[in-house]
Amino acid sequence: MAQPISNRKALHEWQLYLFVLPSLLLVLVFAYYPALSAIYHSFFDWTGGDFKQFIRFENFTRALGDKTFWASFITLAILVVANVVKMIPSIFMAVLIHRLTSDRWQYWYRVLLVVPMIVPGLVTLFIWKFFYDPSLGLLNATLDATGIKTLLVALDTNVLQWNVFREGVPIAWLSEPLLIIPSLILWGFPWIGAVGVLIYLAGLQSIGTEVYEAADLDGASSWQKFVYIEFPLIMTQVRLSLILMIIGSLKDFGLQLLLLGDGGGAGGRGMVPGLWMYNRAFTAGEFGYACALGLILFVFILALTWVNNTYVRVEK
Amino acid sequence: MNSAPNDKTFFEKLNHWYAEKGEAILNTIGFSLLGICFLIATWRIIARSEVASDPSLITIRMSHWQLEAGVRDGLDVVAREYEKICAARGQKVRVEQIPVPEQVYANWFITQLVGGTAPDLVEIGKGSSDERLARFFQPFGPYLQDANPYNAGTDLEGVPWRNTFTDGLSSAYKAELLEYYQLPFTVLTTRVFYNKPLYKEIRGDKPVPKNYDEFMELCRDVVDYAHKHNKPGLLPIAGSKYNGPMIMGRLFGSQTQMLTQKNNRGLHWTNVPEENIMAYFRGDWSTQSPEIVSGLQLMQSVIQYMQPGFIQLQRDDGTLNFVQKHSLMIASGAWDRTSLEQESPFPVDVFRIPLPSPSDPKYGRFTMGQIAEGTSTAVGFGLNRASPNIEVAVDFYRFLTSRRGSEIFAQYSGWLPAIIGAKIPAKLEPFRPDMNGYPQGTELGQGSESNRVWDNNFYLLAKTPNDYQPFSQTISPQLRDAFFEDMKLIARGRTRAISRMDVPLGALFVQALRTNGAPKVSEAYPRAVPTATYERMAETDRMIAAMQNGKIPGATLNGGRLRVAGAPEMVEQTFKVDPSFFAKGGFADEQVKLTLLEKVARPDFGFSAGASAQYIVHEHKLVVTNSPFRLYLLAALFDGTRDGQGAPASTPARKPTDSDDINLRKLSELMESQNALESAWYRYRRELKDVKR
Repeated sequence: MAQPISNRKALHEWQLYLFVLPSLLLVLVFAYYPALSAIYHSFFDWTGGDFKQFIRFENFTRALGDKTFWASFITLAILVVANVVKMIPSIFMAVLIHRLTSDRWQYWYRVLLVVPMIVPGLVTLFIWKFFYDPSLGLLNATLDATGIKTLLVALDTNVLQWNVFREGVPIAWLSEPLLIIPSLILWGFPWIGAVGVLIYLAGLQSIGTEVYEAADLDGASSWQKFVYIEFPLIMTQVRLSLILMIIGSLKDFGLQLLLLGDGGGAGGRGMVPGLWMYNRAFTAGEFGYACALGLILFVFILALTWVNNTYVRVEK
Repeated sequence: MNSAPNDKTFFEKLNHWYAEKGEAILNTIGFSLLGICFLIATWRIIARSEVASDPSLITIRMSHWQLEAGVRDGLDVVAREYEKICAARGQKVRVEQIPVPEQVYANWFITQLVGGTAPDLVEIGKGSSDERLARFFQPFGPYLQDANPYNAGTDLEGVPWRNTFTDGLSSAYKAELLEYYQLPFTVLTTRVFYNKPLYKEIRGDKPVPKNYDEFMELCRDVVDYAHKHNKPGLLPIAGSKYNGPMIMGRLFGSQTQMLTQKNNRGLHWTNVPEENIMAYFRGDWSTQSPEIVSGLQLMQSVIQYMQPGFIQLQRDDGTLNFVQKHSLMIASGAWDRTSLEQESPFPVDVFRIPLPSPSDPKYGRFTMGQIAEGTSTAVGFGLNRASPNIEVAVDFYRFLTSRRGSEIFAQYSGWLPAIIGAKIPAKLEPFRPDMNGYPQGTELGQGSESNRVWDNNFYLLAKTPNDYQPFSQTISPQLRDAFFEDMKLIARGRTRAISRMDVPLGALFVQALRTNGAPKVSEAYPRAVPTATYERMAETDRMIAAMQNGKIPGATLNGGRLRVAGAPEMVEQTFKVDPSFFAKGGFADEQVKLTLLEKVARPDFGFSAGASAQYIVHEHKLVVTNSPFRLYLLAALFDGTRDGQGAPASTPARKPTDSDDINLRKLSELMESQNALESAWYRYRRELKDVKR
């Protein structure tokens, strides 16, 4: 364990600390000041301009009774659960690449995964939006060409009774409340995220060959190697991904905003807390209230991160 | 052990080459590219600095988000023409455009203004709250009473700049700020664009539809044609979140024309969200009202001819559907004419959105008739208060909105001119606004919250095209809360605006009273001054001092009369005030009786003769609805006994005649029947207390 140094020693070359100042200043101005400003403004009736009125905790009490805000957490919970499931293909992809015996092929697969990262996120969003176009979209064309549409219609008519898949009527993926959440979950299929795969690969590559040799001697199957060796040893990376995913899910709303608009789409089914915060700030002009919603979100993120750190333990 | 070069695979050779030479070559290329970019950037900055450092050159910059084809060309031609005029009088001026995409304009607008780098002329509309307008922009009011010199030699010579606009700038007036912060330079009309060859193929020489029935017949013809020719993807109308409402809003609005009039107790012959909301709270209408039901059914009859789920599509998606021949028609405005003509690989023509006439057996019951167009102007620049060349920017704006400048712009942009008498190019004739008709009725959305509820539930209208009930039943319980939220937002804005206006007006009021010898307001009228202003008496005194020193732009005292530049309506109209108003002591009772004695003379509107009811109504709104205190002040100042002149109001009453246009006559009838205008906002507040959520 590193020994603590004395104050005298720490301050001996005090000038060196000046090098930290520019970065510290930037972090304070661009990270901490907006956050502190949001806390301050959450106690005001503020429309984003100069005029504001101190209203104590009114924004927070209002948020407690805000049906749309709390309903948006249900959508969020579904999406978080779906996102947990959507992490699995990346883990499997990382394992598959890791198990390739040829270094060259490993390299090229990694390249292939990284190449799509140069496509701007907005372009990806627009491409997916076009997939969902009822008349011209690829998704409906594929379902029609493969006959899956007929199956969906039969399923809807006989089992689901949703009245969303109808013969002769293109499926309106983003304007049917019942299809909005499935569409949001389907987004990004086959859910292999380059960043996730690279993070898991980094973890997998730290596993020594002697571990695999020992497993081979014990007659472990591929699946057993994954369950007993690989997955436990990349849990640090999985936990990191999980935290980032939960924070991202709570904060992000760009996908919903672009696909569905700031109202959350048909029936408001795509409304998530971040989008509601945006809606209140930029559509209703209630910046003070939006700050209060942001603070409530912050508390949730903090709590979930603590739960994650406490209960998702990594056995070394 | 190293293998011989010939035994190496391609990848190994590639790796070897890269290690030996490739890295150096690629680094050199990359470094050279960076160097070239750096040199180009440096050269551009130096070139720009040279221009900027020329002290005799004045550069006017204008920003906008109008990226449709032709608009930038139009502004460019006007700018070059203006530069020539300046050069002829020995002034070096350059006018530059800064086009900014619509999606980011609001953010760009705010950051440029806050950062102090905004251009001289900034298009107003996205991100421009009242607060920002008042803080960052110079009002046009002080310039509008003077004639536009670029109209010399025309019949507009000597006419105040304001009165050269087709609506007398009534649509540009910011009642809350008592000023004009933008001058619109076009008139917007919407039309149905259609694919001409496809139309001929489907219908031969049949004329385009002129009413709702014919429009439905056309839609059915398209569907039949698609069936017969095995074209399942062909639709009658290309819809999108942007284009769909252009048809549906008109259809719905045709059914709520009468309802809107009934709702409106303030006698504004236009659509006022507060009035509609208060009428809803009073129980005067609901989603089950026959007018609303009729509007919903009318919309449903058209929705079925657009692509399913069109409400999820953006403007570009709708346009793509049309130009790729997946649909026969698309609704859009004159502003899209050039773009649609350029993008479509086929000739395009237009017709007016057909609406049910009053004689329509099913949908005629609630409609008053054709909806009037062009009653307002649109799209305008604001004047950046921090501009170092305000006067030149205003002068350029004068040229842009002169008859000549306006005609040049219309010719190149394909946008309608907003200046009286400006020639409309032949290609724009189909877009000429038809001002005959009645105002459009209300839609269900009255504010951000009710609009959200509307948007969220709209899909139900499309899902059950023969039954409006699922929509109606779903939206009803949500609408009440949404209206309440909208009303709260409106209330907050109004209260702030009133509060802001009360200070300078209070100052004027006090000044007027002091002119009459009253030593203190509280002694003269103990209950006359609203609390908010009364508490600010110290501030009011400072205001008076500032006004006397000429430090409040636009507001002057002239022999006890209030003159606020940019709001001449206040001094042009004459009001007779019921003396009991004063006897009652002010605001405890807001039943103020006013009689309109004089119709304000308006010049012809250029497109067609006749004054617009909206304008007259607008003037009433200015005077009556915004602030009871302002009303009281006006009453005090213009009563004739209190205007410092000692002369009574002398303009005789004028009865409406048959020669007046129908809107004015109708308005006058309404006024005669009531002969009293309530102070709307305080009435809302009173009534809101009784509304149970």
